[in-house]
Amino acid sequence: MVNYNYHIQDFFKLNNQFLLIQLKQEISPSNLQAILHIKSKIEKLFPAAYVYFTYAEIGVRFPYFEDINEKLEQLKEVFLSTEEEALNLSLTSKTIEVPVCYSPEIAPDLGYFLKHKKLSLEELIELHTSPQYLVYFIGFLPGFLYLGGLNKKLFFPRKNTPSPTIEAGSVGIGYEQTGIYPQDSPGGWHIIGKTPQQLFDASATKPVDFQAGNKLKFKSISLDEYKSLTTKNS
Amino acid sequence: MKSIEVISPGMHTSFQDLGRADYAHLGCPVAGIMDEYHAKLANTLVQNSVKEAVLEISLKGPELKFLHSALICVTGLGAEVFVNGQQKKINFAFVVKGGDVLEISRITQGNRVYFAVHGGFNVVHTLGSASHFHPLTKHLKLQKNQEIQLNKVSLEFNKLHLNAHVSVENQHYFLSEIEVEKGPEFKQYAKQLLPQLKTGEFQVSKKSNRMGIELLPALKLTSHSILTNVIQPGCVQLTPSGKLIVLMKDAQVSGGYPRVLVFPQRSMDVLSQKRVGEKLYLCFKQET
Repeated sequence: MVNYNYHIQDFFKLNNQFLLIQLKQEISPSNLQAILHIKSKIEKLFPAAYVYFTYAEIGVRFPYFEDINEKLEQLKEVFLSTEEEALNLSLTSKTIEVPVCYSPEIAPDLGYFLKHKKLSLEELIELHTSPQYLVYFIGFLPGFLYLGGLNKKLFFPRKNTPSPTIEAGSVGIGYEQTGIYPQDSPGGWHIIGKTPQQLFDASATKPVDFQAGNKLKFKSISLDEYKSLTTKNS
Repeated sequence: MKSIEVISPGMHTSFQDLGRADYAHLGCPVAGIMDEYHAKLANTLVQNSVKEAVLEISLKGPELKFLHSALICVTGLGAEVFVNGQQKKINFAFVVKGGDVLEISRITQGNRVYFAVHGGFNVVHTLGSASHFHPLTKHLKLQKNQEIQLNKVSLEFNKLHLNAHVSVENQHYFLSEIEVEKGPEFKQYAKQLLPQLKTGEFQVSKKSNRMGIELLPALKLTSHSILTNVIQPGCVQLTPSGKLIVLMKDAQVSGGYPRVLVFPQRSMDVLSQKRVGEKLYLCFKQET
């Protein structure tokens, strides 16, 4: 069951086209389920609207010619008049495996990370590849997945000064988060591995393989496998 | 084929249209024209739909050679525009012939001007938009020697209203007051923020680009990170060191700094034309 009065905290008009629905400020699978439910409901109500979301907020964009204040009232009515509704969305839809090479040769911060966490490479690989990470949403950069489920033993602060360039495919840890840089970009996470897999392809009909609610599992590969997969992909 | 040859691309010239707002769920920035008023004016003057791509030209403009005749215009606050060395008016449509060379030598007021051609540019669309945004598009701006194809024009010149008049109302760009609205996290910071905004004189920092425009000086208050939430162009982030960053068209679609203010599009248009060091004041819209 989705309890709207539990999940939805507020509505906010960002501009004359864009509304925010603010949920309980937490990172949780139940919030994600509620978001997916609310999103599909909005898309049925307002087929012309565009909806995207983060951990605890849903953005709804309406076409210019629509009256945003009226839409806001309609949304409030829909979600605040009914307290709860049966939830028919499951999060265990699909698990996608992503190969990662954990080698200091291609992961610039791996040595530093292991030394400071007092871990062996094998322990790190075990801890990082065991969980089934939940994809919460895509944001920050095209194809950047916000993942939940990092083992507490791997939590590690971000760098004080972000690196100017982190290469596409780099797998990093930034405090309680882990993720993959889909393209070259500056960044403050410690890079512990690299994937040969392309996370975003603008020319594909489906530019990103993942969607919110999917599960991701990292799979350790050797440097040789990494190199052969990289040449295959380029 | 009707086309334009890029003799020199200028400092930062890019194709922009209304952007790719429907790809935020994949992490793609909205992108698109920074100053919507002048970009839409450009398309209107050459009798295009406002959805057509235009060239957004920053500070030092390009040199373009026309291989065929075309109805064109350059819009903005102030620029030196020449065709074969002869100066032309901005915010005014005119016809160029095959072989003519257009040079936008200098932007004299504001930061950017817009260039439109009747019929529009035939540009590759990536995720529904012609807007340059690397790496979604191969390049991040117009390249030297690039050839720009034009769309087949829908009307012959003799059927166009060449003397059609469009009144240009851009006086508000010359004011130093910019209207803002309250953002989602305004309440939490209102007590410290309001008095500083009332008396505050800001200026555009050097660290400003199509992603965001930083305002200086920093406010005397510190902010706390929030959960990574939705952001849209126009949202103003308050950084932990008290700086206000107005997110512009190439901004990320999600972020973790409090969004204390929101710039409506009209104010973003104006801000996008404020030069580094230019003074400005933020005021709240009367109705709120």
